[in-house]
Amino acid sequence: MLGIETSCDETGIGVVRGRTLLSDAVASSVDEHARFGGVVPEVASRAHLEAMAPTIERACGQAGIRLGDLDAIAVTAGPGLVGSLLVGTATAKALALGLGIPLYGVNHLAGHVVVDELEHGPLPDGCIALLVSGGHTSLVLVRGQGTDLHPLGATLDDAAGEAFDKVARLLDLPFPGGPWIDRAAREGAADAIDFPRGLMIGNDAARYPYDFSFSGVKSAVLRWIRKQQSEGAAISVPDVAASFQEAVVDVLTRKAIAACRDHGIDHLVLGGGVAANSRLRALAEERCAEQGIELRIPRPGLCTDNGAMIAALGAKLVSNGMPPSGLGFPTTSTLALSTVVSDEPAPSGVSSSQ
Amino acid sequence: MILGIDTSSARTSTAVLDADRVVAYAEHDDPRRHGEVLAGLVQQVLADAGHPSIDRIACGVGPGPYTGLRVGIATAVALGLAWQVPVHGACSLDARAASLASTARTAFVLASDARRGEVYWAQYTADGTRLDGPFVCRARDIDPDIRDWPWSGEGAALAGEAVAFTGDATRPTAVDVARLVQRLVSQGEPVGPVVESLAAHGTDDGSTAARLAGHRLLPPVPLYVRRPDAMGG
Repeated sequence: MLGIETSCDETGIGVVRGRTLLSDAVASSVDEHARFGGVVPEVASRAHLEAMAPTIERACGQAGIRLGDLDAIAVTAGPGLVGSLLVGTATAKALALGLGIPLYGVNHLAGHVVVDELEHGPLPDGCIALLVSGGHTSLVLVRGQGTDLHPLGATLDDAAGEAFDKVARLLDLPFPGGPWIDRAAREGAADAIDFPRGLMIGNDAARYPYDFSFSGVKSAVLRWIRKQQSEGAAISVPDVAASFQEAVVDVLTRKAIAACRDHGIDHLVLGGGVAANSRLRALAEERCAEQGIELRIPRPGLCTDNGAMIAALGAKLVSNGMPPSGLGFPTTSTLALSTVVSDEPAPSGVSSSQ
Repeated sequence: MILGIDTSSARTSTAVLDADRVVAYAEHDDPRRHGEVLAGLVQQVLADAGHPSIDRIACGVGPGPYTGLRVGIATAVALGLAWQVPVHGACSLDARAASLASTARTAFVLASDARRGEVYWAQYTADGTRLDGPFVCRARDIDPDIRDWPWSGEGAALAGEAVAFTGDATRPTAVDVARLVQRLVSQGEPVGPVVESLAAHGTDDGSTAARLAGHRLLPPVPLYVRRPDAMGG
């Protein structure tokens, strides 16, 4: 099974056989976005097209296979940047057509959950997934060993990774901000500044038990920095980074644990680029251990966007006997989380003549 | 047999040709659905042509609205990987101009719709050889002498009073592209360079036209003509 992932700025191509990872090739355009301080959709789309054929060849080479050896193809149909997704889906459709093999259009977020099976074996029938990246922050109830997803909550404003990027910019740290904040925070005190935790208390917590809000903490960091500057006081980048990071991961882990407890589930899966954050991993481990919850986190290379996760999900759909998607499915920026296989009848209005 | 693909306009089209003869053709008009319809159309023309063995793929590389253009090129490149056959590009305006040349009596300008009130355009001799271009800008910003040339293509129709429109508003198709590529390959024409968009942010500084001068058979890489707009345009 070949998996193609192009929902944001990473061109990911992976090959799996069942639950065995054969190759995982990723080309990233992150350096081209750095000077803009965020992902520029048109830049990402151009980079995907440029990287596509070489990355497919690299993935096949690493796996020791030829395209003709493939049994099926899976591709991210959404959610994500439409222009980027279209490069992946057009490529996947053409490969499936050209090779005469079935195609599965799948949900990006479901891939982030199922990828853990490549490292840690089958998922249990019930688990909670916390998916955190620059584009998503979602809590998901996962049934059917990873194929049946029920959204519990998501961010109401910024994604967690987006908040890291914006705070990094305030601190003059490079893009993407996550790894830089993580690094700076190791030298700082997490309790130096008491930044707010969004949707954690009172009516907000009752109304949005599994939702997130990170624009408040981002604004609080900005206000704090301005106040220090106006008073001529020193700003400790490590202390700000550590305190901000603590506010974010405290909320993420507390809500994830609450979701497990409320649903009587004892497995938590972390996925998405922010799952590579060392403090999030440490705090999740600590709190899961206290609650008797088994924590599953893929290695960092499989947490960020990659093709292997899409291949893993595709392989699972095949083994579950799911029908393939056909060639006419649309790509969408807002694919419903519970949608794993997108399928649409052939478009109407197609004309044909000699 | 050759498979042609063009997605440089709101029309998604694909064709199977045997030398110059069209064996099967399919098209779909929708500026936003290239990605949904193209693979199905290719499947259809292959079936209509009796599942021939394709030994070459020809793809229009624009200029054209980027998102649809990329769908066509990504599809052509992936089919080339799957079938292990060469994939060639041609400027979509060149391909249409070559087809128009059989009826043209003088030099002409061919233009396509670049959206947001702009046109992609290039100048051709009566026999369809590109003299200059492609460029992108608003029609009324073009040199008045050039605006008085006979203008064809969808972009000319949209430019209204600004140019001397001949009444032919046809869009480039996969048949135009496949025929031109077939001819250039059989003439042994070398493949031109990858043209990067070196123009300043969001504008066309003419560097694409300069780098493309004298080249007609191209790699399957989009002719963006201008750099990406940081706002995502």
